Amino acid sequence: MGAEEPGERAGGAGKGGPDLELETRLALQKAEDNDLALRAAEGDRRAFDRLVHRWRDRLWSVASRMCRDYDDAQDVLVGAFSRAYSRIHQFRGDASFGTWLFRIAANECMGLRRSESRKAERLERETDRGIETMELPDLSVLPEEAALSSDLMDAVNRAAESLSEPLRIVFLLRDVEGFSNEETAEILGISVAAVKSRLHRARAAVRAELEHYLAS
Amino acid sequence: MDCGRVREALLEIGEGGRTGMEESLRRHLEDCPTCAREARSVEALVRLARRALHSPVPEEVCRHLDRVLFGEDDPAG
Repeated sequence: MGAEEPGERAGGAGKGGPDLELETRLALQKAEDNDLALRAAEGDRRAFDRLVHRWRDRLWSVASRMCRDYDDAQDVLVGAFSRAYSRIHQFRGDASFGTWLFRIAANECMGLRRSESRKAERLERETDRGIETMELPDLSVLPEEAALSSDLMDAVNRAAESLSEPLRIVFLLRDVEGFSNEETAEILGISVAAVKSRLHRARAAVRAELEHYLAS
Repeated sequence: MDCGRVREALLEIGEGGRTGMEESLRRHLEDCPTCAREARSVEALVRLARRALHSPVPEEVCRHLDRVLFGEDDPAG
């Protein structure tokens, strides 16, 4: 996926025909990834290098937003790929390569940030307050030119930043990186129900934050 | 299908948009303007998030990664 823009990946959403093409393309990507991983496990270094190229941007997008520190994000990225490379012979293809890689990265990230977990839990509870009863803005009415404005992109960034870590990681994996609820649950080692609950709260919190932008 | 069930089903919307959505859910969205608005908003949010939050890895980090993994600069050039 390395050369592919996230907007391109999301381009067919809600339009019927293109969705099917997208679904087929994603299935092909997963099959190619798993094939590369199996070749890498047999010692093909170039196959692993191609996997790095396909996944490094996606991993960086999540790591940099979870760590919020350049050096920490670099440590997570490098640590995750290093561990994946040294353990590639353990990859069996039961899960997709992406799920397997992000699970390793999530562990790297948690190891780095364990001391902040209590603070994150408190923030998660605070983020919950009032969201259920809020009137959320209708984002679909945004004109295309507004949806591309740098001000709005900044507002989305700030909204994501304001999420607690447990909500932010689910939002990033589901809505930015396109993992399914089941894959996200596997990556984070939590239940699918917990993923859905966090995703619901994260989306509501981001939309609520964007309402301030839309109102201004 | 009721609105509560539909809101839960919208949590499945993601990479594939409405691909694989149950027929009963599609029908509900055609008939219920409130849920249809909610579905469009979720899809718009996902599109916005992908545009705004995707960050390419910096070149410097790529070079560091290649050195750590392969002990040299990027073999793909």
